[in-house]
Amino acid sequence: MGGTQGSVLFFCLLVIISRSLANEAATHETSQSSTNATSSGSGHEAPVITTLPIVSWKWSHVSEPYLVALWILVCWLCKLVIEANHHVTNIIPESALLICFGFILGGIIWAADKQQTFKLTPTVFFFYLLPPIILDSGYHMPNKLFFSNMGAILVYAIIGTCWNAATLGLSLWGCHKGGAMGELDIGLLQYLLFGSLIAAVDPVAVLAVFEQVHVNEVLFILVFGESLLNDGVTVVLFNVFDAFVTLGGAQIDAVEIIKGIISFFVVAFGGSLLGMVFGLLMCLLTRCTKNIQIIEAGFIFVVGYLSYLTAEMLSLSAILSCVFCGVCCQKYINANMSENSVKTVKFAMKVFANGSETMIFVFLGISAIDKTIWVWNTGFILLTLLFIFIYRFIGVFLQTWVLNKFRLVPLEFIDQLIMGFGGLRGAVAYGLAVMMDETKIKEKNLMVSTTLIVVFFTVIIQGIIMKPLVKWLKVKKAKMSELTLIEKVQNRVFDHMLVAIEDISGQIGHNYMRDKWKNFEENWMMWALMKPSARKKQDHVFNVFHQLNLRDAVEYVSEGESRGSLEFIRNDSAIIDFKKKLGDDIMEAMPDVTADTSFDHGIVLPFRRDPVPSVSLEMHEQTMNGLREMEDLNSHHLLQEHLYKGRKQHRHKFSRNHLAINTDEDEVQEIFQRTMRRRLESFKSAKMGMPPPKITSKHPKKDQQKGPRSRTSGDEDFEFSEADSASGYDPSCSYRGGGGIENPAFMVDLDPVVPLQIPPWLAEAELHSGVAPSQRAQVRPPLTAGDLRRLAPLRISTRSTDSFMMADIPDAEERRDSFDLPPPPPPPSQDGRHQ
Amino acid sequence: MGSLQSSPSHPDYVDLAEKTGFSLEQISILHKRFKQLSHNEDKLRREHLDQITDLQANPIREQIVEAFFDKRNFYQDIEEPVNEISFENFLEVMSNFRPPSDNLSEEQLVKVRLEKLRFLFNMHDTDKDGTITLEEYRHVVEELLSYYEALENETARGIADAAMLEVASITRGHMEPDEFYEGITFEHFLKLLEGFEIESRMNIRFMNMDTTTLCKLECGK
Repeated sequence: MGGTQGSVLFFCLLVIISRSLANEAATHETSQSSTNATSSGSGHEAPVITTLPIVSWKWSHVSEPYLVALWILVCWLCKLVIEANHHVTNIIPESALLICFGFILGGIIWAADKQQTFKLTPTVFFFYLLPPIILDSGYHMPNKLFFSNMGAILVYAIIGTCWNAATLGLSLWGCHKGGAMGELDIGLLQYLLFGSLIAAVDPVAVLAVFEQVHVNEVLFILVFGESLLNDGVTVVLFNVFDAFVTLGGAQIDAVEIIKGIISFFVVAFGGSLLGMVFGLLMCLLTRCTKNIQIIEAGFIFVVGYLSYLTAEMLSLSAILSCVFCGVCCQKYINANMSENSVKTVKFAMKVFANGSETMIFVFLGISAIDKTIWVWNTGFILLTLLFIFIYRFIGVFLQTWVLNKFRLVPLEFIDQLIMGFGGLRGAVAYGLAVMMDETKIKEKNLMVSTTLIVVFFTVIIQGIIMKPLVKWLKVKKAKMSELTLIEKVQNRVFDHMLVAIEDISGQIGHNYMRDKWKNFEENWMMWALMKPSARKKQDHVFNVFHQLNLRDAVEYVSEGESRGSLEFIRNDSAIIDFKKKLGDDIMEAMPDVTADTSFDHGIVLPFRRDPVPSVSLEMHEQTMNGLREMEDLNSHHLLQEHLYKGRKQHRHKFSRNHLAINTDEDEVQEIFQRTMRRRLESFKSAKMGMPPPKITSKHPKKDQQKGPRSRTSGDEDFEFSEADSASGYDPSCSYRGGGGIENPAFMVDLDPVVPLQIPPWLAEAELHSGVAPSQRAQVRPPLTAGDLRRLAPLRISTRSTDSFMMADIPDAEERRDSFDLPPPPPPPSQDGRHQ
Repeated sequence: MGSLQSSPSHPDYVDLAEKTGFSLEQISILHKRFKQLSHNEDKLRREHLDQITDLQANPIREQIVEAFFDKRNFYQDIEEPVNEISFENFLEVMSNFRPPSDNLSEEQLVKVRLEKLRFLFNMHDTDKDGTITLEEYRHVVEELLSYYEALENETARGIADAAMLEVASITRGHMEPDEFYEGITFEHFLKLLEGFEIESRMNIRFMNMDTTTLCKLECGK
């Protein structure tokens, strides 16, 4: 699905890469290698047709996009090979391995062509490979973390980069004057230009390495944020110095320097501002894409890319623009778009970002295998490496020393070491180096090759050392576990508490500002940028709750599937196993799920159908495939009975506009009718003291279960209604009783009011001893689906356009009137009715 | 109760600084603020805190204010009920939010952590019986969510219940059928928030600069 949305972007990518690769068409096509095949294909006039050709060979016709696609495939295959075995990637980071693969591929090409025909060109890099990565990092930026460390990040990004550039340039110049590198035609300005292009820490390289080492989040955001923002800074610096070099040393006076500084700020902040404008635009756009949901995800990519290009056009910082576009819009967009689109954006974003990252590294490797760019100057190269390394550390220490005076939680020495060590340079530096004008800078090739060496050194060597270093220094690692609900709640309490204390103590601190901003955001931004329906879902606690619910539902289904069928939904004995299994095995691993298996029974009961249909449609397809005959029959029967039939399943037709499954009015009707009918029957049977109608089924298994049940139906029914009225079928009384909560795992079955009740896991044994299983035990089957979680009350409040929610509406309304009714009869009782 | 004179002089500050760990400047700023809140009286009462306009929008306002009048948060024993507090008590509560000083040993850090957690626990445990019951917890969640009118009370209850179940399953593991989970005790509370870096998060920057003038207008005077 993601592919469709990004196809525009991707297509552009293909075309332009091919342009740079155009003249390579011939090399791969041996039959034409002697001729000078060019990209246009015009050189291949069709020969005079003497007879109708059935097929013809038209390589030149497709060569460009073909090569691009082929290269993408090759790069991604490299990644595939690398990731196939984690023994290697545990030691050597993926990025380093990709570069090595690039070396090999480059070697092959060189051997075949005697020249490097494929290279990473600045155009391809800056226009097609970099934007997806930047947009992805902006869009997935942990905003709170980012903004609460904004000050430090800005200091590192701006001052740190300038520091790196200046010290490196000056030191190299000094060494040059001192005669450390022999005869070189490089002036001070050129040195500064070189310093500025290589000063920036590269986001691609940093992310690739840091993602694998899992350092704590503050450290991560500092390094990552710095690398993102300083890209903008370095590009600006580069442009300024480039202009200075063009002007020549003589013409630079104070005015020009001041202009340079002003332009620096205009470019950087203008770019950020532009990005924010685009971000807000995007939010407004997604407010009204309700009717074209299928392509709404595409807007994110197109507008994000446009923000990049527009900034480029206005000669503002494109990287900053793209980052802030992503940062600004993420929250509102995620709320505005449908859940499917959000997922699509998320995954497509990752596909593009990860894909282009892979290509960047491979092509960095390939580009290095080229005799023409290599100029060796031991002094220059080694000194550059040394200075970069040293000044990075000095810079980090100095800045952190100052920052720590203001930080609430000071950065530790170890963190600083890692930050210094994390100064990886990458493809941005290479791209800038290649962009230099050879007529102005005589030693361009030396600079390019030095840049390459620096990149390889930092990415490969420092990348490899990083992991053991992190381990050895015992850097605080990131917490791997998900936040539990209680921690989320606690976080929330914290935020409010800190604000309150600041208010009381009269301090104006971060929390105060954040609170003010939040109020502003809630009052104005949300109102302007969010769909009304989306606004109310903006609660983190609520979101976690929702996620947990979803996970439970999925887990429930997969549990069923792993057992081979849906049998357990219906079959008592299977449930017993399910419960036992949960109790024994999963209790430790997934406390959530188990704890909630029978949670909030009273409330959930009326809603219990909700999770089943919403997840079971897929299940239908999957389980129907490989089932044994008997089970097939059973589950088929079950599906017919319990799950709402998909009148229109999407696999039956193809539509470009609709992916929705079963959002059909008929179905809503059907759901409504069924529920009504069921309820009426149960009502009737409860009133009359009659057992719910039971018709013998032709399934032997069912008969077996049903037998004892119908024999004692009278008693059962009595017990049934009593149990329900007493145990709090009505949600209002289910939890009012005590302050404590009842044991979750057993609540339903061991209701204190009905001491005689038989827990379902004993039911089977009881069958044989002649005691009927309680009605409640029979009610269990459908119950387990619903009571996996306490989703029920949410459903009403978060009503969305989702089809199943729609289905609930009549249900829910009706339910309110009938709270005092006994619950619907057990589903098995209806099995026969339709036969 | 170690009451202070109407205008504490510096020797008192030194004494307080030792007790609470604030610097002298911070104490004098906080004292100014205290005076401002209490309208130049020696004692601070609940209605003084209720007058802070910024606090009005805070969903857990009640509990925060209550924490200032909770004798468990003071060093000395005060007879119940606490209706007014002295500046010293005010500082004692505030000191829970002081960032830990730089050179603390492991042991001291643990102590700081415990103190902060205890404060948090006390805030939730409104009936002061040593356990956070479901009712109490539910109350917190409801207050937190009350901000969003769209979410109904039932949702809040559902979330609180779910969180409580989480607690039960984390602290107790597998429960016997007839067991009740009566509430979160302090030990369980510690266990729950094990991964929570409270010592670095429950902090406020107490400035050495006087900012009270800035928020004078907002304080509902």
